Amino acid sequence: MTQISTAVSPTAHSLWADHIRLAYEHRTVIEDLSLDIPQGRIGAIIGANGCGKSTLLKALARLLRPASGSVLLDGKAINTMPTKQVARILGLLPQSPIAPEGITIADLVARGRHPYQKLTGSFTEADELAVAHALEVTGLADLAERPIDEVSGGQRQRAWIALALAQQTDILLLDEPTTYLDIAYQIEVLDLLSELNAREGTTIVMVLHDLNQAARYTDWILALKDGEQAYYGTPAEVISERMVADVFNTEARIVTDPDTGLPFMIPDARHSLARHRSA
Amino acid sequence: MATASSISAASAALTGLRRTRARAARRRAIALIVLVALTAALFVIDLAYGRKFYALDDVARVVMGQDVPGATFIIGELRLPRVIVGTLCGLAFGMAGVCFQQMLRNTMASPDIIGITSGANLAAVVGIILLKWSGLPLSALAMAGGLITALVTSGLSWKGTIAPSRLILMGIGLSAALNAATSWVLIRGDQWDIQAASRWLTGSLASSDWTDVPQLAAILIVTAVPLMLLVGQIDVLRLGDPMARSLGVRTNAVQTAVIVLAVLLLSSATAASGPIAFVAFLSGPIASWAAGPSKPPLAASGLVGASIVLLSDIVAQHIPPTQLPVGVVTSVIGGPVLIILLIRLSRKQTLI
Repeated sequence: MTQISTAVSPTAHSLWADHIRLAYEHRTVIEDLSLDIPQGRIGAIIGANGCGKSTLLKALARLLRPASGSVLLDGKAINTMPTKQVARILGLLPQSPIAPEGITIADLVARGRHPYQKLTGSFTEADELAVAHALEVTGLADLAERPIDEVSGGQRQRAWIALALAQQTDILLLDEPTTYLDIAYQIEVLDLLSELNAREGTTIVMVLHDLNQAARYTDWILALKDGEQAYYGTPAEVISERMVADVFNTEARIVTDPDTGLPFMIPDARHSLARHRSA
Repeated sequence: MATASSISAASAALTGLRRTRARAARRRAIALIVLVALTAALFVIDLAYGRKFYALDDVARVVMGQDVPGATFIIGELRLPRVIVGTLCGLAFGMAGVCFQQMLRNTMASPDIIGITSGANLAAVVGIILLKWSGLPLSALAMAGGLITALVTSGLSWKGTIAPSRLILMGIGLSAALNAATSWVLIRGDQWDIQAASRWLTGSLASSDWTDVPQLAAILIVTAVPLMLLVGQIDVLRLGDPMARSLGVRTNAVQTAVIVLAVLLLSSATAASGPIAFVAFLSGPIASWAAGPSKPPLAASGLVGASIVLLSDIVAQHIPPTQLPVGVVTSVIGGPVLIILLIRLSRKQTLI
């Protein structure tokens, strides 16, 4: 198996899925999967709908307890650790978080400090600085006092990412962070995450649908098929015609992006309207 | 250059953050002060203004424990306990309602709509008519009825976690069944018991006396204090279960605790006054409107509940030609407000 190089800082935390089986009620989604998340790197989990991507992310975020095996954070089973302690190390941006109606962006982002708050709920200067920093790096400083329901979809998604940043976790998991965003906002969000990784060394794992974005913005890719690890490696290793046929059941051509030298997927020419028009 | 710009941007973000939090805190504080003043004013008016009007200094002297000829009995023994019970019940309904609504992220998730009140009602009617109970045992029975209903409703809608929309639909269905059972028990009762039970079911403060006060106050303190301490967690639960868990909230434990505490609060008030219609449902939205969206408005909602009950009690005693149970007035006010609220909600969001 490919070894992805890691960028280990002295404070880095490790996350490791050890032979986990994931199931809802009686339906098994993932039979047996192990994954050592490369520290300080950005990775993507890809695969067809229903292959278990989101389920795997939920298990990594301790939202779903494995039926067998365990997810280990710094070598300890994550489900046995105090949840507030985990929340200071590992953050999750779920697919559809809910914003209380009428709340301002700054107020929403301040919720990211919950893991650090005492029962009395006092908001310290450290909390304020963390929130201000998160607003700044997401470009929301000037929108801080705007109600969240009055801003664009891209700004709202940035606000959720800012909340995760204010949480100041070493590991950040994101479930389809670019869904529902237009192309400019998608790129903006992915740029923001790569900056975060470059600046703070945050370990990032995200579920992504767009293979070309996965190729551009990640160090490693895990392709799941029917709940099993089908491919794992660097984008150049994983994104191949064989993989797309195998995992997505789709004919595609992989070319080299002339600007980045990274693989770029083009669906086979047969998948086009031109086929009907030319006749 | 990068540092200079990042510092100025950070300070813009910092001032924005401080300003928005200060503004939200000020709005909450003003709302609380106004609501405390309103509740206190309604309390005094309800006390002074009966078939006979008493001067405020007489009222004050009776409340202080002095003997005022002609006023001590009427105010001290008849009106004071009634007004205190009304206030405590209003507080309880308002707080219990808003806890459910905020935690389940839906105005419709109020305990009087999702069947918990109906469960307490059925238990109390069984207690009054079949068992001939009253006082503390009756309260305990109503609480058990509310708790069992909450348990059954959450159990039936359980999907690894509480699913609000399933819970609401399940609760509305269960509520209909429980109300049918209550009617069935009612028609089996004696004439006298039926009257007592019906009056109770409408929500009435008429039979309140000093014996209700200590137990109601005790339960209010025992449940409201922990609920207040859970406000921060309820607040984060508003972001949805996955986000709340990611932020370190033990969602299932917190939800269970809030439901048990709120149901105890609601059922004990229901046992004392009967289900005063719409108070639990209306208080939360009114309190949110007054105190703003920054935090779940528990205290504000309790005060709104108390104000609604006291105002309705004043209206019930004086506006119509004959005295009405307070629940009739809250229904008359609450019905139209419910419809307006539903119209506004359906424009903004899906109801369920």
